[in-house]
Amino acid sequence: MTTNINGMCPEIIMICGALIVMLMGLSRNDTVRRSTLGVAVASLILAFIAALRIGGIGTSAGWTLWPLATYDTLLASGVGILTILCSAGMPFGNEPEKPDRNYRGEYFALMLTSLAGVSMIGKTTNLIWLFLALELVSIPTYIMVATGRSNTPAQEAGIKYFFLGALSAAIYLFGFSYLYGFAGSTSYVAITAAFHAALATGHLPYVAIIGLIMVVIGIAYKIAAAPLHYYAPDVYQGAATPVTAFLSFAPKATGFFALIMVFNLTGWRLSGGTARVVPDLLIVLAVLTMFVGNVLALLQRNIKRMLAYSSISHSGYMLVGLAVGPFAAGNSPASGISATLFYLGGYSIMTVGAFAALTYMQGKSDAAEDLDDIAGIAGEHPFMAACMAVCLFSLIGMPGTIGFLGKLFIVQSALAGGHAVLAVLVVINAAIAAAYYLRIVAAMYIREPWSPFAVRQSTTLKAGALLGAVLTVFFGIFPALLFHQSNSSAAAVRSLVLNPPAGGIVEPVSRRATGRLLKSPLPAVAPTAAAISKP
Amino acid sequence: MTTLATPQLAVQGFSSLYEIWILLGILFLAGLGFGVANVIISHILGPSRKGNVKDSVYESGVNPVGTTRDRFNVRFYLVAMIFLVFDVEVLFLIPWISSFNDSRHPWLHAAHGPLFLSVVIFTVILLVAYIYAWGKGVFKWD
Repeated sequence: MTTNINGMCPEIIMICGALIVMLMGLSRNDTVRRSTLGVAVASLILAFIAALRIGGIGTSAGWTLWPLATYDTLLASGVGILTILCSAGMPFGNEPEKPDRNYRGEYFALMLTSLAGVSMIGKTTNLIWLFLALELVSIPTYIMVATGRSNTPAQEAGIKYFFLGALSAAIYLFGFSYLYGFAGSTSYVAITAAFHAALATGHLPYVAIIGLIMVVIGIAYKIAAAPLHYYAPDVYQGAATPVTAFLSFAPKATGFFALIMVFNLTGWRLSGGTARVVPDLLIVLAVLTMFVGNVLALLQRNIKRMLAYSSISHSGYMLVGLAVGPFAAGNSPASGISATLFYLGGYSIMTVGAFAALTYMQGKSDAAEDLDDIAGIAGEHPFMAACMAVCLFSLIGMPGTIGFLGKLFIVQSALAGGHAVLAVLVVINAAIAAAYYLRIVAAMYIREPWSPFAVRQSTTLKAGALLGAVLTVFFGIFPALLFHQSNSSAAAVRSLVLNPPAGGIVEPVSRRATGRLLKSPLPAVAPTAAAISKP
Repeated sequence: MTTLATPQLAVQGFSSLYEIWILLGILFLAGLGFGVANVIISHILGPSRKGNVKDSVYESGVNPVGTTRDRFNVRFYLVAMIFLVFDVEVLFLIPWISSFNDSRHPWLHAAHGPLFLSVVIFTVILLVAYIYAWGKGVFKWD
């Protein structure tokens, strides 16, 4: 029990921060309401430190997946700080003089709650818990999209996002119910054992395959993978830009961590027999997502829509790593999981940095959205244009930035896993992507300004964009800090999968409770589960 | 079925399966009687004033005549949401208090400290929701 509380320390800090921020938002004093941003950043910094300390001490020794959980928490709190810096002055369109018409406290409270959900995904040990964490991420984002700014596109985006999000939640929850029907338990330990037993016989029941497919499809919505990407451009365009920045990070990170957690249950060994359909589905999703995202981005003139399609295409690259799996390339950054996790971290930093710079350039209430609106902005605001350009070069994958290393590891993993075609497709897509990213850079630097710029003069926003750009280059030159984390996470996944009975997913929570409440349905599972859950 | 159920029933202090059904029947009759008795008693004791408004259907303060696709006052939704704060609280507190000192759940018994603490945390979070609603002026009805 105490181990569990220690492990959840970062999430508890984030939730406490959310509660404090929510109460501060009620204050009649505008200075107090403005300081909610500082409190939110402070609680995320505390959560980041807590995650580092817990990871170092190793309080949850014996729980194999701990490095993955730590990476998840570090990513949630670290990139969370960037997204909050990006949200200076949010939400737009409120009435600052009236306390009950001011939603600043709510905005940051929702953000912190959602980040706590992102950070919790890696710590789940039960399908119910996984579902709750997924919803904890999603529900605040629906509200943030609708209340971020008070115009009709934002309302439309909010409704669209909410209904499609609810649909996707229903799909993956339905999938979870099939997995429960297959294993007779929602506990990861029991489901892992059931998959192990079924795969040993060489025949995976259709119940399990259907369940997995539904989970993949439901979560594909969260990461905006290709056939389920339709909402993304409209929602990204309709939401206020800082909310868009958050949307391009939080649901995506959640989705990829959730997919890794779910595939851990299967042991990543679905290549034989009818089960082959699941990895094949991942490959199809990856290829479709890359091409749809990049080709449609070429047609856009609206920068936010362009970045929305770009975020779709980046999901495609990460799905390539997921399709390769943890075994190829062994214990190097080029194993599939490690490459995906590294790319996720890098992508989050560079895309949030780009959105921070865009928020600055757009002015009050996101007036400027079109390529023409930022034409020639480099002359007047060279600093922010440079930050934006660095992040965009990284999104292209220029050497010296984190985006280059991310793509390198993804391509290496695809080659090591025997998916040479996928590797070629990734490289082709990186070339296509350069075209539209360079159009933004060209508009900023080469073209003449059309009209005077009304930027949002905010030091916080500048700090956010600068931090994003600096981290993009820093991790591009010294990637060891990041890929040490992603690599140890991938190693944890591998060791979990290779010795499931000995090092299986030990329940870090209320071991006694689970042991008593869930009568293990499979006779073969019972001794294993009991042996594992005994501390 | 009966053979399976009997040992558990013995623990809970029931002599046979029928005793449960008898209890359920009494509960059902009491519920039915309570509803019927209230209607009859208020009919006998209540002052009877007649009128168009008094005789109309009770619809929680909404005019029962006219189109149903009408706009509702947003306060109804606010009250419903505040009701949830208390409703959810009670929903969790009742099973907690009824099993808190129960010898049939030794694992709960052994974890008294965390169990108590977790409910305190839960209540504090709901208290924040209550203060928040208060600060937003949900309880002002004018």
